[in-house]
Amino acid sequence: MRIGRRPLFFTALALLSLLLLEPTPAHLRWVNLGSAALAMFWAVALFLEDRSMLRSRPGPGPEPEPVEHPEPPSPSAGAEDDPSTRA
Amino acid sequence: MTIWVVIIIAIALAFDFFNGFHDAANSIATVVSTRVLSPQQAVVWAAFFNFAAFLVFGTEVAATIANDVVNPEVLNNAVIFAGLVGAVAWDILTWWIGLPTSSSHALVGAMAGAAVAQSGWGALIASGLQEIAVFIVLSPIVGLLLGFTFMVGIYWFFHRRQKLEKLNRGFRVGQLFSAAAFSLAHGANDAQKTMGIILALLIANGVLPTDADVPLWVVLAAHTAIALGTLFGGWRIVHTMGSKITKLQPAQGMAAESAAAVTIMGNTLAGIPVSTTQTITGAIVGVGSTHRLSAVRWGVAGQVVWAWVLTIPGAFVISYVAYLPFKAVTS
Repeated sequence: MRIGRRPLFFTALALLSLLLLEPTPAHLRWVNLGSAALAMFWAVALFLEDRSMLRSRPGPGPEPEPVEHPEPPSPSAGAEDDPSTRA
Repeated sequence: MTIWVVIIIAIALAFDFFNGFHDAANSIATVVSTRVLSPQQAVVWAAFFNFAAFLVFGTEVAATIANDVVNPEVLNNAVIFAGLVGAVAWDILTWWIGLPTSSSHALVGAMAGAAVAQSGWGALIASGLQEIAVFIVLSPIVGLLLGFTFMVGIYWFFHRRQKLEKLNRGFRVGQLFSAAAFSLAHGANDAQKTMGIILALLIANGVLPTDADVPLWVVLAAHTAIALGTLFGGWRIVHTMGSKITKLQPAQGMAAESAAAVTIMGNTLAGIPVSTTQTITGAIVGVGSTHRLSAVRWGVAGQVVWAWVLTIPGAFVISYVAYLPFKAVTS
């Protein structure tokens, strides 16, 4: 299954927080652990959200009749993944 | 108190003033862009809470700067002067280039550079520097995660009950409080860095005993300097407000400011000097990523990473060089 960018981003944040655990003074390590836990929580929540959205989409259904002059695809389709649309 | 001590205190307060001047935008940007306050009102609002921070927070960050970066025994007027010169020079240089660096990190790197130039690497306190270095990276991450969490919480709790337009009207009032909280946190953490430098200077000159706490006049002077810096810096940025300010909605602005304020206040109570600019940048990234990652200005986030990498070594080198003339004279 394809994992979205946001779950991966939050997983990376969790890993970074854990990587910093060793150099963090012992009395402040709860900050790393709390950050990692929160980041993993959001990574899992976003992953589940992505999966539920994928499931709620209508399936492919029966093959459509061939059309002689098909409509061109909408220019907004897949805009989120297009790097040129990023701010 | 000698004339040298007075001059160095004046430079330290000037550093504090420019810190407020430089960071004023962070405090008032969103509250002005959403027209919750007029630019004039917002500047006065932020400056007031910068100053009022001394009533709320202690002086833990000042103690860290004075005692945990450089061995207090090697601190003298020349080291502190060279350290301040390095920090100010780095701030001006990066402001010129447009790199969003942290004055706090510059100050730490510069004090370390001047101390090493005088007494070698043994002058540094590794545990204190390590703690600061870890939180350079960790603070923006915590700000990001809290920003994301607060924003999702706001959507989850309020948006299902009311339409977004009505919701934003309510959060315009909320922004008054979040902007105040951020200004309070900014004043507390950043003014204490200057207090730490002045405390170290007064101890090095025998004006105060080694275990002294920060005198009240130093606390008031540092908070006044940063508040005045915000007042003047705020006026300056008012003219560029329309073009440079983020497109955050009131609810998003409130979430970002609250997340940054909580993060900075936590660090301040733990005595850790952090970058207020980078923390609110992290919080804004967190709020923006509730929409989608492509809405985040990754160019700005990338500049923050460069700032992490370059600031401490850059300020270190400048203050090291700034100390060399003193070393030549004394040897």
